[in-house]
Amino acid sequence: MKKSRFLSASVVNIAIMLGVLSLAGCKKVDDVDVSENITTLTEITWDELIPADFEQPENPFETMSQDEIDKLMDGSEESKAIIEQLEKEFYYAPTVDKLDGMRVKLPAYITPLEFDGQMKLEEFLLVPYLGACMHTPPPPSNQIVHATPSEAVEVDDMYSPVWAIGRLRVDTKKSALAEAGYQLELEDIEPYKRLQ
Amino acid sequence: MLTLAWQSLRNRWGTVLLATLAVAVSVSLILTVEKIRHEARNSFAQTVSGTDLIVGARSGSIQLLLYSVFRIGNATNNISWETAKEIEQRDAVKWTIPISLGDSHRGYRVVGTTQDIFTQFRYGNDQALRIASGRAFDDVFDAVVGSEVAKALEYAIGQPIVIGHGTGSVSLVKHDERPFRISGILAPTGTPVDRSVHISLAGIEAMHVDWQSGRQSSDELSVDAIREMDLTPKAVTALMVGLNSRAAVFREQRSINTYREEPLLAILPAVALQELWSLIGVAEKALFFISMSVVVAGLVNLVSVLLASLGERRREMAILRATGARPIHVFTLLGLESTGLTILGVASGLLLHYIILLSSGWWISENYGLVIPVGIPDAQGLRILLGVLLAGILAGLIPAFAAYRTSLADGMTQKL
Repeated sequence: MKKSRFLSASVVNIAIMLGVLSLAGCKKVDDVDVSENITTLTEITWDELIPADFEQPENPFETMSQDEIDKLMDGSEESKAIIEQLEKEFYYAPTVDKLDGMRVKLPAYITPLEFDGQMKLEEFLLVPYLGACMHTPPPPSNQIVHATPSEAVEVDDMYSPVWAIGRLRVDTKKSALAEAGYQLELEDIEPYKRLQ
Repeated sequence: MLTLAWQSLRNRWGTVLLATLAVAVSVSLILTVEKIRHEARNSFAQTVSGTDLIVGARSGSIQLLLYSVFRIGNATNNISWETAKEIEQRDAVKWTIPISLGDSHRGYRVVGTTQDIFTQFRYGNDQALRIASGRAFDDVFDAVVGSEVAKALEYAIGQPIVIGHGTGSVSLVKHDERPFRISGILAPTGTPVDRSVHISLAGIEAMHVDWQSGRQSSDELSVDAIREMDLTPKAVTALMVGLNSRAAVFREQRSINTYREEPLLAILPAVALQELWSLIGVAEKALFFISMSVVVAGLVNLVSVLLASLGERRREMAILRATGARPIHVFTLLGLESTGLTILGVASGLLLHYIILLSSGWWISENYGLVIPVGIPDAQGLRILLGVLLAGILAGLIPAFAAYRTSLADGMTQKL
């Protein structure tokens, strides 16, 4: 008597569980079909953030002698205009617009911008290298990703590289004030292990 | 079963109480230390927000952070006004807040700055400074004080104050003839702003009108004559900078660090804060480790007290066995005892923790500027409580098991 009651009870239980799971499953399917690339995660490299056909112009100051640089920076209005023009050409760093909206996994180093009350990261920049020497210019704007997690993340070792996972946004608005650049809606951070 | 356990404990209440007290004290210690650690970290991390760069004369990044944000230590040099203007006018720069340091009022730092500190400066969760009463500085000799300054020195709006040269707590040489006037008092922020006195840059210049040779000269200009003078600053100590695009920070930092006109240093405040934290963090972790050790000591003490008492309880066990209890019952009895004591210890520890916070909270905030809110334990606190409870229950199984084995061996009769 007891055994059969037990059996029927467990059958009812399992049926209910399956029912609930299938409903939950149904919901997921609806979500997936909304837009493309919503679940596929693409691993990208820093090189892919630069358009393949882009040729980096040489740093004009590299080829000048100290005398020429001094003469150029004599403080006059014309020299300021020339320098501005040179800088604009040199700093031009186009973005790869087709990456917009893709879910990506990028290996990077973190430079913090904002901490919350418990020293967790609220906002940070992702860069290809950390603490670089002064012999070369800092990374161009298409090699910097501005990451904003939905909630503050805790990173134990800020000096080690991480895998940043999230949806990439390409900011194509370029004005006199702001550069075009990459933003990442951060979903997750994982420590970077070499064989992955 | 429970009544048996209770009666047995009552019989030995002296030792039992002491063991429970040890657990209670250790639990309250770790809860209190954790709470203080949490709040100290909070207060540290919340000092500055939304600032992309801090610029000062060339020194070191932590030194610049300390004197510009935490008001600890001093600058080695100033930045010329021309340079400050040039940086402000760059395309990439959205706003700047110049600050001038080096003077004090009764031990509190005086900060010369512009109105932008009330409009652009942010701390904590993107909060701006709020003027609780009065208004921002308007006249050359107006001063806006932080909440801690106003409370400690019992200041009111309109009160004249005298500002001294240098940052010592007692001003041996004062700027007596040019008393400043409190025009506003800021709302509390939980940051070093509370301990500062803010005046306009013109006010700093006015104060130093006759200090040109490093000491006060004997000619005294009247206050009105000073107001008429050109009080444009010649230099400022540091500059807080907000950029139009956060990603531009590396390039602007490099450009300022290699500035040809003057030796400058630009830091990312978050990076410098993190470097400073890695120094303090070691001490913080050590503190946590020590309090954990104290908890372990308390639990070990409890277990040893119970184990030690087993010897004198063999007759008690034998009687129980004689009246029909099986060894498993003895095990359960001891288990219940230790669980009960652990629960009691943890609960009293929590109570003791609240007593400590409530009684010393005022003293801590007066002396260290740290406000510790009292409420239900947060996630970390709950985790600690649960952990100690679990550890105590598990540890209590040791004397329970020992009693189980003894009563098995002894059987119904006890051989003394």
